[in-house]
Amino acid sequence: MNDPRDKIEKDLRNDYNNYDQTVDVVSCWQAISDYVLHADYFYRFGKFRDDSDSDLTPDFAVAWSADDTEADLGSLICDIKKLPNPYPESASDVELAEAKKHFGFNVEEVFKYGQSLRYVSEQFGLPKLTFRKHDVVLLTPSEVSSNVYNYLKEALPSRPFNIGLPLVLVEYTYNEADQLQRYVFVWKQGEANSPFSSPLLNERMIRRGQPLLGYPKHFMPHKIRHVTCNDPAPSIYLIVFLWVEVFIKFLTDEQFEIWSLTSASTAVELVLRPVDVFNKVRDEYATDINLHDIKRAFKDLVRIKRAILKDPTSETYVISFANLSGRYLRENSGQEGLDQKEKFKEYGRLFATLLAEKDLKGDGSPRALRLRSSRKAPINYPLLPFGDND
Amino acid sequence: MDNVLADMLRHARSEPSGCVWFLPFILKSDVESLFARLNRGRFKTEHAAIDDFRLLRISKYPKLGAADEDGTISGDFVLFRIFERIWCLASPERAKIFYGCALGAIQANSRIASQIYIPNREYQNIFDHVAQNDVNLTILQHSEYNRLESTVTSLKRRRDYKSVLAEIHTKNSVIRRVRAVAQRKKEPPIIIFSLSNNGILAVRDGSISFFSDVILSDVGRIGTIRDVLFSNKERERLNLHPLRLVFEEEVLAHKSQNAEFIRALTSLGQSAVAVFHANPYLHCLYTDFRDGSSFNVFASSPSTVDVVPSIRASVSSLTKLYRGISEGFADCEVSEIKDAPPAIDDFFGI
Repeated sequence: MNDPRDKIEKDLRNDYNNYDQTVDVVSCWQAISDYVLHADYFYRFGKFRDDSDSDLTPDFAVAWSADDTEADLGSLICDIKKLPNPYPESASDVELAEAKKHFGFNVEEVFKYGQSLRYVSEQFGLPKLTFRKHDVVLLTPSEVSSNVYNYLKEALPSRPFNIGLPLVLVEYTYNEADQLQRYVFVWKQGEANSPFSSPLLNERMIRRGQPLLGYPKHFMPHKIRHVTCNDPAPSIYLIVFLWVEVFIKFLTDEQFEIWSLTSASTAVELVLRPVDVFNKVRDEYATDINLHDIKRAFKDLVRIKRAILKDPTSETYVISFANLSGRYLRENSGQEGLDQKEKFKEYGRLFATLLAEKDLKGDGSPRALRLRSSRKAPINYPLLPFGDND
Repeated sequence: MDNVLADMLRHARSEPSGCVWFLPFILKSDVESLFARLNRGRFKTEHAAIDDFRLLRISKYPKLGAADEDGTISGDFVLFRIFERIWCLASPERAKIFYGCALGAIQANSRIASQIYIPNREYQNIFDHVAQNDVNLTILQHSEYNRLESTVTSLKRRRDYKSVLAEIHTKNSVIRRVRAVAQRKKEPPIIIFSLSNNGILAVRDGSISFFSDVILSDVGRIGTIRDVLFSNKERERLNLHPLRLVFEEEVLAHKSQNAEFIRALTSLGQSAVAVFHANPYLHCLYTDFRDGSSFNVFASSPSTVDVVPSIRASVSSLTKLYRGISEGFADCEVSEIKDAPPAIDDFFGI
């Protein structure tokens, strides 16, 4: 018997894993920026503005600048696209046409970076460079890169790919061969793909055909420092991080004392505003987590009854904080039809269960937990092997 | 100090199975702060300074809502310094009193105090040290935890320490406690003692000065090394101070081993684990709910795990994490990371 919660829970965990993978890829390129390209600036967070005053949020940018005003030739503005499969199996002609249209729409989202852009965010301490001579880099999983390449060949008349500025297609995968696990980034082979303007990347990745590698030991420090990337973090990702890492840092000695008198599964009340969490993360971790994302996570904590909104004017919440490890049991139908009780100790799984149960009961509001639609992969999307945390 | 301990041992020997217990620990504050902390919550402590040691009477009250709410325990202890930041509580009290009051007092103050974990390799070092100058070290009894079977077994058999340790290594087991006797041929025992892997020692008979100078001093030395290694590792904004656990083999080469690693972490009490990646590479967040210390933990290679302390990271929590991984997953050594920054060629394949 299929439990409907399983599907919702699986979606939530896919959101969690997909987002985590995007954070990984951005962190890989931050390491590459530091140790390979020796770039002057890495733009991990913040907004760029075009000449018509529209704000854009690419996944990251790498820049050199001689005058701290203009980004030099060779600078990169990059977007990661885990695109939906344009040719889903056993789809009807109508569905195929719809899938291809959706795919094309997603690919062409990157075209907006092929123009003059100015970095406009104040809070990240980076110079407000104007990018006029950059390459636009589209990073896609290798499973879908040929589809992207073929789509671009049809959509773009210019060779090599040009969208006002060079468009470079890079495919990536996660390689476990030789037990040396790493992300592998490869310039997509093809006469239509644009070369890099960076001489180093051109020489290594195109002329010598060398893949660029992202080993955990190199990119993890960046991931740990920054936690998120320029995309909105799904609530489940943030809730797990806030619950396991941040909230406990707000506890007083007296509250720890309560736990030593009882146990850490006894709830203590944390009176917090999202802005308090935002400020702590910014000031003590020097990490930039979007305030809106934190607010969304708080609202979801209310939905799963781990918090209440105490004062809407000041946005003050009371969080019922405790160690939830092993506290939640769920009846689960085993493969042989035998009911088993699962006890969740790992927090990703634990919150996926809590959020899924709330979703199933339905509270009349649309699900706010998913990534934005352009990030959402359909079921038959060829995922990298990040499916299960079990 | 040795005279006081010798008196305690004489007293203990008069009891049928008496012994003197020792709990060496790392103290990150001055001793007065510890006393202050031992006079709140479940603890009440009276203390007096006598010569070069302190005499303590520690009382511990039961947890709120505990079945036996009248189950207050109380005992007398001496507190003395071994090295600069290494102190020791000692007492001939019964095990229940010693563990409840002395160990409870240290565990309840994880922000400032930490036990000293003794991995298999350090047992070897301590025993090698004891067994010098024609001294034979014989294991009388030991208990071990087998990681593969998740079982604790206890064996009461006289054997030379080297064969016991070699067998434990072969079985992929972890020593939990060893009771041993050191003596020269045809001479009375120099010392009969036990050593648990949480650093707790007990002496049944023998020379207190030999025990202090060799065994207790060795445990204290391990504590000093661990204190230096584990202290001041908190993240300072974007500045990280990671540590590296080095395993003897490639223990994280397969996904099933990642699951075993996570199981070892989630088995730790008063802890929370969030897994960001278990498949294929391992990355998780571990938090100690005793004091809010937290760490990012990730596999940096099939034979190494890097531990990155967050903005709060007590020595005690690092000890707990190190012990949890070392005991529940695989033997490892811990050290600072001294890698040079990666070179360009480290990022390019062929």
